[in-house]
Amino acid sequence: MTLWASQLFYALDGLLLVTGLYLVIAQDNLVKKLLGLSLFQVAIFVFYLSLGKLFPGGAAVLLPEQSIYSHPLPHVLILTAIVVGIATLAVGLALVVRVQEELGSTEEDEARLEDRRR
Amino acid sequence: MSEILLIAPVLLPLLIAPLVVMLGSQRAGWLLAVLAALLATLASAALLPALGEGPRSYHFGNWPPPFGIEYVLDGLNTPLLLLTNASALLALIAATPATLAGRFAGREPVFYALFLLCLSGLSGILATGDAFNVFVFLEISSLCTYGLVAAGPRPGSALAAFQYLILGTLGGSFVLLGVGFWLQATGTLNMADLAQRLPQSEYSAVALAGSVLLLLGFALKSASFPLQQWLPAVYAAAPWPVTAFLAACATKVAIYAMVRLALDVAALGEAARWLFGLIALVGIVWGALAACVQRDLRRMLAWSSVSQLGYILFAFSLGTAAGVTAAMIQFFSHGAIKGGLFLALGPARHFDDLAGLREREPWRCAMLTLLTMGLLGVPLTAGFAAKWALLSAAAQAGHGIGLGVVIFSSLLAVVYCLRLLEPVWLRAPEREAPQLPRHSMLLPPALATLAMFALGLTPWAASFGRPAAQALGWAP
Repeated sequence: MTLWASQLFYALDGLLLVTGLYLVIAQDNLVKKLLGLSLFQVAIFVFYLSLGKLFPGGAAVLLPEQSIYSHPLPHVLILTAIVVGIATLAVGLALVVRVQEELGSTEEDEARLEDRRR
Repeated sequence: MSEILLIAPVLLPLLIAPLVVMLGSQRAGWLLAVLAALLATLASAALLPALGEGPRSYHFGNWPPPFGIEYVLDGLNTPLLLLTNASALLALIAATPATLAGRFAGREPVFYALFLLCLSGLSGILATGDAFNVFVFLEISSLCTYGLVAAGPRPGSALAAFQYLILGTLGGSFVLLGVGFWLQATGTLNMADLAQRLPQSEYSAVALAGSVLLLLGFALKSASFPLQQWLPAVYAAAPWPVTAFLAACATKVAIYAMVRLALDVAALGEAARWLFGLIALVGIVWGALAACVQRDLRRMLAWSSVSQLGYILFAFSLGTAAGVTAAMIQFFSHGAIKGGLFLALGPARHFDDLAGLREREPWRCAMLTLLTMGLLGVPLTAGFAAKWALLSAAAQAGHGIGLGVVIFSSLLAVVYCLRLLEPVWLRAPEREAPQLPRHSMLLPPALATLAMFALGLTPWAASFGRPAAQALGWAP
């Protein structure tokens, strides 16, 4: 792959990253915040996957027709990070349910007002 | 045997946590959790005598580094391992099923399991010699902390835990991204290997970007200025034994990670130390000023923590062996004092809750007074030893501004410490006093008070200064 193509890839990934970060900051709804957080994390996962890719290398399996392999380590690492991301999302959603139950809203501003009022 | 000892502080809580859930009983679960913390504390104490012999490492699965994961215990992280486990032990003793007061409807074992997993994660960050492993343990401890904070008694606890989850995950993700940059620049994850390859990397800009991202992530987790805003909310929302545990060691572990990664592994040297000094000094004043105006007792102590954690970062930023010694004393001193204060306060959260404590509970009143003296830095206490070491280290390094800032913040500490003592000694009880934990629960704060005096009267903590400075390469 040529240099401009890989730079385009990194630019798109960076865009995904800051989109997620923007959602986390700008959204008032707690669930949408979590979605932004997941987008942010996915952008990092994609970045890791791109680290290991070597053109024209394939998967790191011993095959007679290839002598160049992609680096498998970033893939293994990101498997761990994906699990962490899912766990974070699950804990986050569970907390949103409790915020709704106890403060009666999933909008951050309303929940905070309700918390202060008590 | 001694090989196993190196990984015991991390593995014991990790392996016992599922057992606590499986047992299913509140009381047995609590006893098992206390036992796990006790064993982990003893294991980390047993590591101290051999501190002078240099770093020791454990290779998982006998894979030699840099291929396998290795744990490296040296002069800097071994004492902190003891501090972390000992504060978890005291907090767990205080967190009896009766203290938690049936808020969990039979799910107390899950609380204890989360506590142990959080402890294991913090110990893991300290012990590991692998950069990616740091991220994994950071997330283990963070995820458990969110659950523990949400277990707090107030209706807003879940909201505070959620907001902490958002910030904590952003911080963790920055760490992940930073490790990725380092991997790209050097092709290795082992810290010792990274320390050799980072300075020679032909992609120095990528390596620097990775260091900056890692610093950002851990600055958030350590509540360093200006990323400290989450700390008071979390301390106010969590159940009080959890607040005591977090206040005693969680942010300090993040400071350790900052120092280890920036000053030791990436060897950023002068530039990073200048940055550490700047955020530390601003944080010291900012935290002390904010503590003076808080209306919530726990928020006031949380802001005081921001100020006191700044002392540690400032001590490291001096870059001298004397500075490291001051940092080690402050690690232990602040751990004992702030952890002890939160344990002694129990569920009290307003200044009015303390009114008339002198007559109601003389023992608790005595401990609160002594611990507050320690926070002020009155002679004979650990707080004095820490401040003295810090001031002399700053004077030695010729850092006049730092000297002035530390003295100024000590004066501000007088203001907020007196605000704490005033209702205890002078005010009559105005309304129904809150239910404080039973007298048996006075043991953990009493132990913390004793530890404070032991640290103030003996040079025990200062003796870690030299091995820690050697670990950072700042002493022969």
